[in-house]
Amino acid sequence: MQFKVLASSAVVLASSLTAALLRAAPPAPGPQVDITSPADHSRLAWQAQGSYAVTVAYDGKSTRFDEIPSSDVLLAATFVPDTAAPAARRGTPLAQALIDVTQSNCMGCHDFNASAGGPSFAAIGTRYAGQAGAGATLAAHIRNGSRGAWGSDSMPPHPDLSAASAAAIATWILAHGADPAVRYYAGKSGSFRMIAPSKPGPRAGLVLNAYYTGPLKGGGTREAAGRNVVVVTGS
Amino acid sequence: MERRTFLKTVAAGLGASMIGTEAIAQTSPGSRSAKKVIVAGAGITGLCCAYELMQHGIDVTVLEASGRYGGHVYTGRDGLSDGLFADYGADHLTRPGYEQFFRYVDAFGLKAVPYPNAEGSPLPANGGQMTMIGGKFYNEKMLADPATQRALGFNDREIAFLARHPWYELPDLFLADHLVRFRDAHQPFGNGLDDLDAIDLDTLYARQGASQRARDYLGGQHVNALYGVWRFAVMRDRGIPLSEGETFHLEGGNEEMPKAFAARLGARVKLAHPITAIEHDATGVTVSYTAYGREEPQTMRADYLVNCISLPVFRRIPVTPALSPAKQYIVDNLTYSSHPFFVFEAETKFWLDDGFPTLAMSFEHPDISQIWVVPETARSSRVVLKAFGPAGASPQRVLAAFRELYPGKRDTIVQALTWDWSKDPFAPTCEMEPFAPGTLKQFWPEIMKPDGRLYFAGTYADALSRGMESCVRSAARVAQEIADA
Repeated sequence: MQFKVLASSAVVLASSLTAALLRAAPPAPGPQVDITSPADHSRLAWQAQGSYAVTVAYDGKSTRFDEIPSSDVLLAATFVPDTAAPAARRGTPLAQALIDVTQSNCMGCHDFNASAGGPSFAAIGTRYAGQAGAGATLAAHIRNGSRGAWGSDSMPPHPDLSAASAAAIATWILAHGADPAVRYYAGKSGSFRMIAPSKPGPRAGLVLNAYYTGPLKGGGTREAAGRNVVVVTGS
Repeated sequence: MERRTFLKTVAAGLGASMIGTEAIAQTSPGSRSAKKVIVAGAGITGLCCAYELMQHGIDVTVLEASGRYGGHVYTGRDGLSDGLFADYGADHLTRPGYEQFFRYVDAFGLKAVPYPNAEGSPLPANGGQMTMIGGKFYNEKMLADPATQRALGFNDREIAFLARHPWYELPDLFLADHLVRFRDAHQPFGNGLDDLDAIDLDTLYARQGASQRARDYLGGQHVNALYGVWRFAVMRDRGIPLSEGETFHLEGGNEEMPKAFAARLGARVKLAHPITAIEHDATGVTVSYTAYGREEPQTMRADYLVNCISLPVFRRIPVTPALSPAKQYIVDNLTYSSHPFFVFEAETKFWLDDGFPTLAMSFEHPDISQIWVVPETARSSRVVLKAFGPAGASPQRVLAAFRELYPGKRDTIVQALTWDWSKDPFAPTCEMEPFAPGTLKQFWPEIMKPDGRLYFAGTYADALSRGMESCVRSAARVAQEIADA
C-alpha cells in the first residue's frame, strides 16, 4: 500500500516536472497559422464564392477558444497567372499598415472591397487616386475623424493611431486599396471570391495567405509556421 | 442617421399580417403547409419573419450565429442602478409610422410608453429644446424670431415660411411641387423626376432657392435627390408629419419585442448556430451550419431561405451558385449607418436646478451632438440620459464634452456607458444609409426581389427604410410571398 502511494507520488512528481519543463520551454518565435479550408490545390470556378477557415495558435492561446480574437486574422487572396509556378506559393510579409488597420477599430465599419458602415478601401482608393495631397487628407481623416465626405455618418477620430501609422494606412489605401489583383478578408472564417483582374488563363488561380495580426510577445516574430499558404486554381 | 440630417419615412400598404388571428402558434398537422423555410438571423426581422411563417403553418427554423437573439435591438442593464435600463440599439417607435409594429405590441400585450425628444425629435411648443448654432445656444423663442432667423442667414422666403411653420417643415417649402408628382409608393421612377437620380438632395435644395443656412439645417449632401424626394412623398401619403410623429419606447425596453417573438417561436430558434455556407437550386436550399462549440458542419435542407442578416455580415457566407450580378451589387454596395448611444446615469434631474424644463440640447462639438432624457424605466429618483457621439469614442470623452458645453452650473452624472456596435461581429450595423447619387436605379426595385429561392428581409428590404417598422414590414411581406409561392 505504501509502495503504491509512493509510486503515485512519483507519477505526480514526474508529471509536475514535465509540466514545469514544458512551461519553461522557450515559446515558439512565431504564431502557428493554418488554413483549414479550402484544401490546397483545390479548384473553384471563377466568379464563385469559396469558404475559408483559419486557425491561429500563439503564446499558448488559440482562435479556437476565442483567446485570439477573430479580428487578429487576415486572409489575402492574390491572383496568380500560374498556380503551378513555385513563385505562386511564396508567402509575402504583411504590410504594417494592415496590421494597424486590424488592431484599431477600422474593420468595424470598413471592408476592403464592399460597403458596410463606411466606404470600402477600394472605393476610397479609387476616389482619391492621383489627387495631390490625398495622402495627407486621408491621414488627417483617420487621425481626427471626418464628416460629410461620403454621407451623413461621421468617421470617428483615432487617437490610438500615431501620425506615422495613419499616414502609412493612407498610403496603403491609395496604393493598394483598389488593387484588382489582391483582395483581403478580415476574420478567421468567411467567404472569398474567385475574381481575376483580367481574363484568366487555364493555370490561373488565387493564392491564399493567412496572417496573424495580433500583438506579439517581446522578441516575437510574425513569421508563421503551419499551412498558411494554399493555392486554389480557377476553373 | 440623425433626424435633422435626413427625416425618415415609411412605405405604404405592405405585408398583410396574420397577427390577431393567432397570437401563439397552434399549427395542426392537417393545416400545415408542406413548405420548410430557414430564416437566417434572429434579429427583429428574422424573428418576425419566422413568426409570420409559423402563423402561415410553415415549418420554420431560425439559425442565429450569436448566443443571443435581438441583434441590433438591445436593452442594456449592466452598470445602471435601481434596475434602470437603456436601449443601445433601436431607440424608439413613432405614431403614426409604426402601424405594423403596433399590431404586434397590441397582440402580445406589450405597452408603449411616451418617450418625447427621442434622439432629439421635436418637442411640443415650449418644450425647452436648446440648439447650439455657431457656438451659441438658442431656445425656441429665439429661433422663432425673424430677426434671429435673418441674422442666421435665412432668406426672406424662408423667414416668411417659418413665421407659419416649425423649422422641421422646411422641406415642404422646397419640395412640395415635387412631392405631388408621385402616384405609387413603390414607383420612384416615371414621375418626370428621374433626372434627380443624378444629383444629391442638397443640390436640389440649392436649385429650389434654399439659403446656405437652410441647406446646413436640412442636410442632404451625398443623399440621392430622387430617393429623398420619394421618401417625403411616401411620408406624406402615410400621414406621417415631418416632425416624425409622437415617439415611444416599449415598457421594459425595446428588446421586449424580440423576446415576445422568440417566446412564441420556442425551439424553432437555434442560437449560436452560425451558417457557414448556402447552396441553392431550382428546388430548394441547403444550408451548412455549426452548432455552438462544435466544428463539424451540419446541413439542413429547406424549400426557401430568408436572409435576415445585415448584408455586410451576410456576404461572409459563401453562396453557391453565386448571386446574380444585380443582387451581388446590392450586397456589396448597400451602406449602413452605425452609431453608438452614450448613456449617462444622473443622481437627479439636475437641469431643473438650472431653470431648464428638460435636458433637450443639440451641440456642434465633435464629441457630442445631442443629449436627451429617457423616461423613467424603473422606480428610481435617478435618471438616464442618452447622447449621440462618434463611434469609437469613450463614454468619458463624450461626458467631458457635455460638461464643457452644458450651460447650467453643475450636473449630477455618476455613470457613463456605451455599447460599441463596431465590435459586434454579428449585428454591427443599424439602418441603411440613403442611396448615393446615381445609384437608385441599381438598387430599386432589385433590393426587394428574391434571388431564386433566397429571399431578403431587413430594414433595407422595404419600400422605405424606417427603423424597426421597416424590419417587420419586410418580414411580413416576405412571409406572405413565400406562403403564396
